[in-house]
Amino acid sequence: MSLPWNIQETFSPEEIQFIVENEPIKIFPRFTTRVSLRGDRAKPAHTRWKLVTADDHPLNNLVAIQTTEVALWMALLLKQQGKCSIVAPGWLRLSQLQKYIDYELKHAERFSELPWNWLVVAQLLFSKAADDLHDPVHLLRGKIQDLREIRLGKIGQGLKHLNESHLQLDNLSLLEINELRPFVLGVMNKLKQVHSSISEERGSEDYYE
Amino acid sequence: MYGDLGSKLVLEAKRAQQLSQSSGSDQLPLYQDDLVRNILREIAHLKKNAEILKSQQELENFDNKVAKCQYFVTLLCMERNKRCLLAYQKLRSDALDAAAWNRNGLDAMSSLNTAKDGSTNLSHHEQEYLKDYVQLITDMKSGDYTDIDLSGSLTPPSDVFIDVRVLKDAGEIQTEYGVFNLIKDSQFFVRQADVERLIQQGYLQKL
Repeated sequence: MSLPWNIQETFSPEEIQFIVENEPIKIFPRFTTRVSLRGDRAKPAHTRWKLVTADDHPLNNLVAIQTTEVALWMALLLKQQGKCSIVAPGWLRLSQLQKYIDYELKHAERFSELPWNWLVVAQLLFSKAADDLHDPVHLLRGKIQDLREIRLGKIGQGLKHLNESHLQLDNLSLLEINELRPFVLGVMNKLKQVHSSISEERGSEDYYE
Repeated sequence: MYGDLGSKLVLEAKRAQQLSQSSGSDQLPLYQDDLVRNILREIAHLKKNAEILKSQQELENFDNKVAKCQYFVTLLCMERNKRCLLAYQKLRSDALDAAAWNRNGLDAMSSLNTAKDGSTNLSHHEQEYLKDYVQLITDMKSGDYTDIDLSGSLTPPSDVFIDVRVLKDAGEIQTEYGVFNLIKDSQFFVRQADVERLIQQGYLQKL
């Protein structure tokens, strides 16, 4: 087939990152693109951003040191050239992460309400915008790792309850779902098959009686 | 028994599948010509049996239960052989499709001869099928979707510019966006979109 077998029914981690990079994030631009009304008339026309997949209005109105919201991929591109600094999202702080960890520890059967893209965003910001975070990166990394391990433990517990009809995974992030997907789908499909064959058998027995 | 050759063939198919999935290459093992021929002979034999049964039935003109059962079992054997043959062939054709998408469609379309170095591994019909399938792909790409390189890389782009190192001496290569002088072990900082094809062909290594 045109698609290789290993991405036919799930996303690759790169694709997850691609999806997440479409989310908006706040930045501090370090340059100005807004054209002031007075003066500058003599200058030739500025080159403007023209985007197809994202809103280009905020990019054409950047003012240095004034927060704007742009797509994450654009923020990372600008950051790479040192033209902006990224404002870390509210949940990516030591205190906030500690709250999440406490919640996770207190509620053994629930996942805390982290954003759906927390793992990917954290990983991207740690690697590409480490100097913009409020707290030292190694501490944040530690907390994220803690959260990840606690949640992985819970996922492992939750897998005991796999059944043929449904499964509830509130607040599980996209990456966590993605790595579970092949296993859970395979097992649940098999269970469903077994169950439906049993019920069919019963149905036909009733029919003959 | 009648189905045994078929299961041998399916085992062969399974081995080929595991080989391609674990190593990730799209090399196909040799087409099992003898085995397939034997199965076909078996099917012909079964068919003869069925015909004899039928004529016997007409002659003696009573459809007793034994004759019915014989007829039915013969039919089942043929079904099983057919299933095994189709499974084997489908697996191979899937592998051929994947190969056609991965490499043959790239850059120069003429690569049919060089890309499939093991073309003797394919049966005559499979070679023909591969050729036609590549033709289908090129038709599709030259149809409505000319703007998109449909057989290009499937990993989403993450960096606009990348570092590449030249692995094989290739002389001066013309890409659509300019000329590179590819000398072995030299490095370039180029737009990813320009060199994607060369990376897939194995001339460049992404850093």
